[in-house]
Amino acid sequence: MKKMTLKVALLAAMMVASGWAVAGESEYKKMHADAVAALDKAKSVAGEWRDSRWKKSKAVKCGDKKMSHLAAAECFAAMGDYDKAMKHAKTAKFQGEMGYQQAMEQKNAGPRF
Amino acid sequence: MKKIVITALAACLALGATAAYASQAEDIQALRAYFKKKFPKVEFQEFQIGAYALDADKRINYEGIKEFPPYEDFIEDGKALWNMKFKNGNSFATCFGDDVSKVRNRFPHWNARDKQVETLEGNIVKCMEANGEKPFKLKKGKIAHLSAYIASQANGQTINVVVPDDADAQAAYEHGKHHFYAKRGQLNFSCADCHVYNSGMKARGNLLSPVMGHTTHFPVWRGKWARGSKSGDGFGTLHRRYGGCNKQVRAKPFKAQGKEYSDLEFFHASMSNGLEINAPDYRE
Repeated sequence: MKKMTLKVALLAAMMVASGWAVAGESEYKKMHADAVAALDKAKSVAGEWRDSRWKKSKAVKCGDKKMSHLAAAECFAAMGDYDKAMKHAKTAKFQGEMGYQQAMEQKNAGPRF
Repeated sequence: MKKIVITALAACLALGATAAYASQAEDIQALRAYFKKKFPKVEFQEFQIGAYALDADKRINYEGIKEFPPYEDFIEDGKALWNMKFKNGNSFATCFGDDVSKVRNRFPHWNARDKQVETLEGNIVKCMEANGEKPFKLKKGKIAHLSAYIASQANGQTINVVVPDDADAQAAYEHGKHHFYAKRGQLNFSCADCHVYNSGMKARGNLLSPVMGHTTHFPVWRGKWARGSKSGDGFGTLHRRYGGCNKQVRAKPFKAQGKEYSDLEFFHASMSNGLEINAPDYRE
């Protein structure tokens, strides 16, 4: 009986964990798509920031390599670490939104003297 | 009544157009007046040596380095490239003319046929492609050596970038001007924040140089670039420097010799009109 209970508990734990992983993956995929859209919008007004997705950025370390936030999100997702993947995808999205907003605010920039 | 309305509308449009387009001459005049007030002891031609005109100690170091410039061998390499024959028998002189001293000061300029700003380095690449040669990389190495040799032959000539009476040329100039004055990147800095409003101030250990005089000495030899290079080559083009500036404010750099930086060069070089070429030169 004790063994049976243990097996059931283990199975239940595995199901919950895999459920979380699936939820984490789908949430990450949506955030990644949102980040790409935000960065494309910033790019359309020449407002992208350095560390969002520039291929030479060295902002975040994933494994033994340094990379941009979006690349790091992809790297952590490939390793199954969806918490970190979400965090960096979110940062990339935020930077895309801020880059666009900044470019819009600076649309009429000129000398101030 | 109809006539009055049309006249009033036309007047409004004309006024709007005048207000939206500040001419190149007005921009230069305003900038010169600003720097004259900000640095009253600095003579106009002194702006060609940048921050070294603002600080006596730094100037002593600079003049010491200039006694035995670390870049002379690379200028010789550039001379060899100028004299090199392409596989088809042509050379850079075929594209730019035999008198090398008359090349540097023609750039940047507006190409009305292609509706774009042409730069010296951009035309070096075009020349190579037109002659079936593999073009140089755009930011450092051979392109900077050749450009440094070409520029060195124009020393003492006065910069005079002309923005013609052409709507597309003026749009390119305004685009470059906008790049210069717009804040960008995660640090929210514009080129002007450092090189106009805070020129003469320090950013960490560096004295910020005034924009006027920036382009007289390019391609530039930077101690920082030389230290970071395996061959000890510290040369870099103006567009390499633009990329570095954008990266420093955490903005994504643009492509060297693309429209963004070529238009910026059109405006930027204009701000040095009246100053003499003194290229290449040393910077920290």
